Amino acid sequence: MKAMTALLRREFLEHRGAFLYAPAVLIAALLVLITAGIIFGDTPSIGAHNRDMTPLVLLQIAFGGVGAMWSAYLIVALYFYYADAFSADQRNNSMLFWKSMPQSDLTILTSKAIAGLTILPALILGFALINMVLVYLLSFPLAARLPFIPIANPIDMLAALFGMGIGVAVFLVLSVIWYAPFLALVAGLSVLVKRWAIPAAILLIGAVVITETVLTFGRTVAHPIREYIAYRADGFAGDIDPMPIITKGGYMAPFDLIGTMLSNVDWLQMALGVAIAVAVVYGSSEYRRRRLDS
Amino acid sequence: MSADAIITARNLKKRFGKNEVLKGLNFAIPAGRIYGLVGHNGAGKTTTLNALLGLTDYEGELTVFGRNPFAERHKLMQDVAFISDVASLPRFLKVRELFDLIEDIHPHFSRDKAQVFLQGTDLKPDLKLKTLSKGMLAQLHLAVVMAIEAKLLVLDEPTLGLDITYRKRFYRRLIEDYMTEERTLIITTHQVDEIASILTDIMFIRDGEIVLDMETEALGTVYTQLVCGSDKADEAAKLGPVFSETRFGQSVMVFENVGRDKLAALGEAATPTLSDLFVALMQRQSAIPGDK
Repeated sequence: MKAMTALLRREFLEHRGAFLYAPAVLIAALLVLITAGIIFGDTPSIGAHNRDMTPLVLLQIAFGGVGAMWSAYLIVALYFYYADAFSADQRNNSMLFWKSMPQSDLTILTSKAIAGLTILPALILGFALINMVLVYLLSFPLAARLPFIPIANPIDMLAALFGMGIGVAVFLVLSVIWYAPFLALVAGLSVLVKRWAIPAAILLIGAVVITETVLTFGRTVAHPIREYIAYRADGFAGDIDPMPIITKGGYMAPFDLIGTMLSNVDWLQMALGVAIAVAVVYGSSEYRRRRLDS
Repeated sequence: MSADAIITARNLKKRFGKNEVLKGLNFAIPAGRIYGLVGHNGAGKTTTLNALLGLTDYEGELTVFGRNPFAERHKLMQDVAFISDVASLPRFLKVRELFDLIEDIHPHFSRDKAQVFLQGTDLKPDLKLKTLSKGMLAQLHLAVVMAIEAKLLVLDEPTLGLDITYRKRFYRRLIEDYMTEERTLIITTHQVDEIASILTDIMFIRDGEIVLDMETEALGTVYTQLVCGSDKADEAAKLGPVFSETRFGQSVMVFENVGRDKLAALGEAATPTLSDLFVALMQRQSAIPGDK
């Protein structure tokens, strides 16, 4: 356990650029831009329709938007993370160093897979929560500029932060597991072709879809591969519309949203995705065990 | 094969495609010895070490501390420390972070010992590895390896890129502070005379075959180097040297299993240095010992 914790810490140290420094810079940039917008921007014509919404609902919607933005960041960052992490030990011949440690290749690759499912999403969730608090704080100068914007009281803010924070955490975890086969694909390819896995994974999926299309050209038949990839690419939440759930209002709205999300999950596909990811990690470790340059 | 050997290899072979890199090596290494593994580039030294360390698969039988190294590398590494490339430390870490990680990953690593080995160097805890020179990286890596309580230490060209002062200090510390009766050391280097005094055993490898595997103390009983004038050269040549050349107008010959008394009558007879013996055995036609 101590060794696994250290290996997870190694992943954080090696990839803190993407999961600590870059998000911090992004938040700072957003803060500057939004503040500048509040101070120097024109008075917007939007907002009139928001007057019917309570401050709590507005805040929950804003927090939901923040969560969606950071979820998108996480998925993209994880795609690049897995493309890098599974081939990182090839840099500077450091494979020799890691193989001198009493840890199996499977343990090391498992630590990389787990890091992408735990500490790295946790960091992004942390930034999402910080971002939510900043949004709330920025609502004060915004309301001073645009009086029709209602300010939520601190209790509503904490309730929205708690509820939407849990909602975003659930969304992040389910999203990462849902996209596990895509992430595993780029991770597995990176063991073979290093960072070329970033375009190679996309090209491979595209090639399979195009091949299926060409083979069935001119015939009115189903395209199961294309449809399946589109289904998975859509995300686990599919066509859930969160707005009606949140606008119903109340402190429990985020939990209703979580319930809807969970009831919408195709658990069989979730399990299949995890099984694919586990198989890729095992296969990659066996390949790595046999090579010093992988 | 020795019963108390910690490493035994029987008919060890390795093939890369059609190229057979190791051609059926047989050897046994007991505990507490310091082995020098010497050979030309591409002779099979690193492949042999990689097989011992479980870094590559192979044909034949190989056991290290009774384990199959390829199947049980991660368990073996509890008792084995190695450096195969001194520039292989992960560059994204600081010195302090490296020690933190290894302390948690390797149960036999002592941070205190590593810090002792770094005394007198310019390496400080907050230095980033990516800013270190190759020499400093080598110093750090050697400190890390020597701070691991291992029963077997394998060093593949450990002092490559280090200046002569540090090389001498490193080998002195290796003997004085690290080696014990229970520990075994296998070392490869091209600067073979630099380590000659610390070796207990020497193994020469040529084209994937062992051409010499012997205790260094026994070298003098088997091999003799003769330096003689041109007037005695023909007479000496009749005794069948395994190697001969002319240096500064004198004949230099290396003999195997020829009485030293007989040679001393022809010129200056002495035990060849490891580098002279290496050159001699690498250049003779047959790689098989005793087959001239």
